[in-house]
Amino acid sequence: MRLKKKLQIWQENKLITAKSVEKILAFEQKNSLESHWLAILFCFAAFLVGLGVISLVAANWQEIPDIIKLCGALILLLVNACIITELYSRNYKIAYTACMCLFCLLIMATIGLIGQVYHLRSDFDGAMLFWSFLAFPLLFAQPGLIWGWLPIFYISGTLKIERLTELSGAYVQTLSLLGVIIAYETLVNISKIKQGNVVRALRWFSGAVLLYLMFSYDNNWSLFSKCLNDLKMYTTVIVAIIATIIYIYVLNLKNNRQTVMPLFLFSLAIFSSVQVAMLPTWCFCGVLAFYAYRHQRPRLFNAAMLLAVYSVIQYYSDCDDLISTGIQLIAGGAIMALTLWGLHKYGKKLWNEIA
Amino acid sequence: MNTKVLASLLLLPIIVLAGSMLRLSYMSNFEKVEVAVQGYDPKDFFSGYYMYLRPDWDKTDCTQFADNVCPKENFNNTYTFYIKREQSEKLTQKVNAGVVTLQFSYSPGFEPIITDLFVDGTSFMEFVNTKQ
Repeated sequence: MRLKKKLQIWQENKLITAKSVEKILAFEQKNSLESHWLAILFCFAAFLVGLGVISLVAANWQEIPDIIKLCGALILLLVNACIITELYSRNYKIAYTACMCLFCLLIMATIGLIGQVYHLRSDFDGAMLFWSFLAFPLLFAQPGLIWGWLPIFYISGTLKIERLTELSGAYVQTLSLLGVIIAYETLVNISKIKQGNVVRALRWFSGAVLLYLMFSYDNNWSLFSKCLNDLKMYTTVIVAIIATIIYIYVLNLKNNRQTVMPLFLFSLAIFSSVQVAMLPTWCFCGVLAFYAYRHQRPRLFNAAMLLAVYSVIQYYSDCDDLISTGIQLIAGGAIMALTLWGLHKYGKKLWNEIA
Repeated sequence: MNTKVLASLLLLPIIVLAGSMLRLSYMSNFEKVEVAVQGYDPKDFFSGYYMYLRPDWDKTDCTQFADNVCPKENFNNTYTFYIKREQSEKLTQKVNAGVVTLQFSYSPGFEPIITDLFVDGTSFMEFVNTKQ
């Protein structure tokens, strides 16, 4: 876009001809597409190596002194904060929003780490509420985060109230949903978000609520059951789908992609983890991220990244032998990076065909 | 938005987290007390990488506390201790045998913080490193 604008200015000032502009744009488009592919594939290779390193660290987790774990988490947060500030000043939007999401996830991970190191009692909703409190200032820096922040705040708040008051779940859910919608509307009015964004946000929010219904339908969280023959799991998903159809039909919302998208993404991730093979989910995430990057859609990019992180967590929860997994991932990533480098350097023709 | 404002917004959660770490670290350095424990639910001891334990005040030596009285009300009903999955079986047997105690850093007015787990008087890390 920047180049296009510059060329336009040059052309207006008669520094270059219209024909030259066309030629330059065609050349740059071809080159940028190639470099995009290369960058994405290299990122995937780096992702595999990174996962491998994490696996090896995780395998020796108990032997690492607590102070190093805690300081490591703080250093990671600080480094990420520096990167975010740098990306913001350079106006790299996609990378900025992605790093912001990563920062939020790191906060979550650090809370978990503190709980683990000091053996604090397992309090999922308390931890998520604490995260909501810590991540709240970031909404001012990246308003788009509200679509992720709000459902987490809502779910953790509901669970907390449910535990504190020992009220029936249905009452609490209804009341808190009402409260959250009022709070949300107030927030929207204060921040003066455009009407179109409000509608989109409400749809995303309703999608998140439906997702919550999916989870809370069965108290045993049977959705995460590893057994494919679990009838409850199918029932849970079917109930969510029926609820979505009714919701769309009653409210007459056409092209309601935003509502269906979270359900679809999570269902895909869950079904992939049930079938053990993680690759389809990762490939899907890669394609989605690539599409979002090409079309400059930061929210879609973040959704793809969040799905990728979720599937990685699922992958690790299924995986027992961390050392061999780590070595395999590092070797796989390194081979992939070397192949890409070789192709790019020596097999120009072949590489052009692939890209 | 100004870069300085952004940096301050990013630093806020880091400062709070570092503060929580310092507070917990301070609370972990109080006088140490040992409380006997039993499994919270004999049917399902282990969930993921942690185990639930309940203080067993009948087996706890109350002379380590002020006035030789166990301050039960200052402790929670259950505690969580994080372990590796493969260590669970070994530890289950010891919990069932009633030889496991939790070491807390304790000072009246503060929430007790778990600092270690002892099996037959052996610290948890030493216990998992023994081949028996």
